[in-house]
Amino acid sequence: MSQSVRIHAGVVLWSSFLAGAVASVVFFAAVDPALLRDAGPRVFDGLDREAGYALGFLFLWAVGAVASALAVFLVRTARAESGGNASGDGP
Amino acid sequence: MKAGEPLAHAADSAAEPMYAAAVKIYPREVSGRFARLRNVAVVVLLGLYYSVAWLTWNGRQALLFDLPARKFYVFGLTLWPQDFWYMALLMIIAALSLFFFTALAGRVFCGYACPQTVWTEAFLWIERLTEGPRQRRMRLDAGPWTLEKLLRKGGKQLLWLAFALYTGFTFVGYFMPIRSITSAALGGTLGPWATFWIGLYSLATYGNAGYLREQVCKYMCPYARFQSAMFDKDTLVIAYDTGRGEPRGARRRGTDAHAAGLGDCIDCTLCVQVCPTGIDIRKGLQYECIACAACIDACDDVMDKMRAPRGLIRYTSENAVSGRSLPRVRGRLLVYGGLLGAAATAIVVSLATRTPLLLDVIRDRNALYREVRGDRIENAYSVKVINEDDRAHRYLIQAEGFDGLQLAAPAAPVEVAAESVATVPVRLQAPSERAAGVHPIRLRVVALDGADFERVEKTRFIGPVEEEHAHD
Repeated sequence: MSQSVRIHAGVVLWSSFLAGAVASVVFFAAVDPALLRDAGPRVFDGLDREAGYALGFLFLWAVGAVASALAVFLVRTARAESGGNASGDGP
Repeated sequence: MKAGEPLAHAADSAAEPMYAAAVKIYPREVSGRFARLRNVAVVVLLGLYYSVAWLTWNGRQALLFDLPARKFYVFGLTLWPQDFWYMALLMIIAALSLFFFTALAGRVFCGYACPQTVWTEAFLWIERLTEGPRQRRMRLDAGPWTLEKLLRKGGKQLLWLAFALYTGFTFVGYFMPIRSITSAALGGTLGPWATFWIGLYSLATYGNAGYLREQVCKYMCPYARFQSAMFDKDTLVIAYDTGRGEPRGARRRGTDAHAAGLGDCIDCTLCVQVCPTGIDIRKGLQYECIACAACIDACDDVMDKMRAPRGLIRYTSENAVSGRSLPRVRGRLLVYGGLLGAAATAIVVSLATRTPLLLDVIRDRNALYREVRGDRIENAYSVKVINEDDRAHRYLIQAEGFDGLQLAAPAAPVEVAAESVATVPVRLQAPSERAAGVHPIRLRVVALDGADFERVEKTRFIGPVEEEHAHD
């Protein structure tokens, strides 16, 4: 893995981590994971709140990571085609 | 760069100027005014972090964001999820403070108070303790694996891991009661999720403070990238006095620099060696600079030895360097300061006048209304009475909104234990001739036992539609 791919992977994981953490705080401030479990499918039976928080955070992190990775992928491939000008500004 | 080309060898700066090769930086130890200030900050902040978790208040943990119980304890205050906006307001205050102090004094947060700086400093102390000062560390890393190297490196890893683990444990202790997770950990009965979070946070501490260090500031920190938006020409920054220092060059002590055509900079490169992010401040302000002032300490020392005045590198502002006016009060500062003052006032006032009682009114979902005794319309509600106070209270529920609206049964007081929720079924009735249509009403809950507070919640009372009534 080249250094730039490593750094891009790191940026993807890190920015989605931050977004996932903020999203978890906001979401779980409004929603009690115990209520979600009671209303949700049977596979969640027997999980406690701590499991709910952790799974919720990991899920939101993963969603953010997919979005970030897609953004990085699109930016990287766009740059290759437009000859090095990723920002799209300038004459 | 063409697609398919191997991406960016790091040193190939023309192709990929964004990333420099991550060369390991061995910051040289530094002493002086600002290093002392940072040491004080590190000791105070880490001291607070590790000790506040153990403070008790009224018999329970003083600062506990109890996630399993969904209650936040902040000294005398108990916050519920419904009080989340207090936390939001606190976050806004923290952000505004960062803006305010950045506009005023640049990146003082980075150099003295950022957790990344504070824990890196602590990890560096351990590194110096086990591997010695900068030169020794570089020799040790370059040298072959000897028993001494093994012992020194092993000792460092052991101390780092223990410190990181205790840091992660303390962190989780702010979210689960620290005394119960301590006994659980000692008894080997720690739950899987507590273990997971302790592990994750320990690993983050170990990696960030032990290895990533300045790379966190360079590559991971969003603040480093947008802080320049808060800067203006009066913001305090660390700058090298080019006019005084250049042309730089080595000289014999006691040489008259000006006669030799030299500036005050003797090009000893100590300012570069002490820099934790590995930059050369003499090239001007760079976004990697975390304003830790290590270069000021190093250069002041050299200037003292050269018998030249201190301050070749110093805290200053763009305006001061170019000889313009003294720092003034700017619109930017007034705006940030005003917003900060408003947010702080809002939180203080609302906390002071807070009623530790919340209502949650849910209308019966099964029926819009019900006819009773032929001439009355009844609506059913489920009222959650949330007593946030740390003692029990008795409450009376009342309804108001239009003439004839009353509770179906005589109101009996509801007793709700401390920090508990009672769900009370409430049935309201009104005479049919007054009940037609949708009426906005209010449910009022009043504390009876001398505690002088009440809470009102809006809801609706629904009767038959009027057209139907006309057809009858």
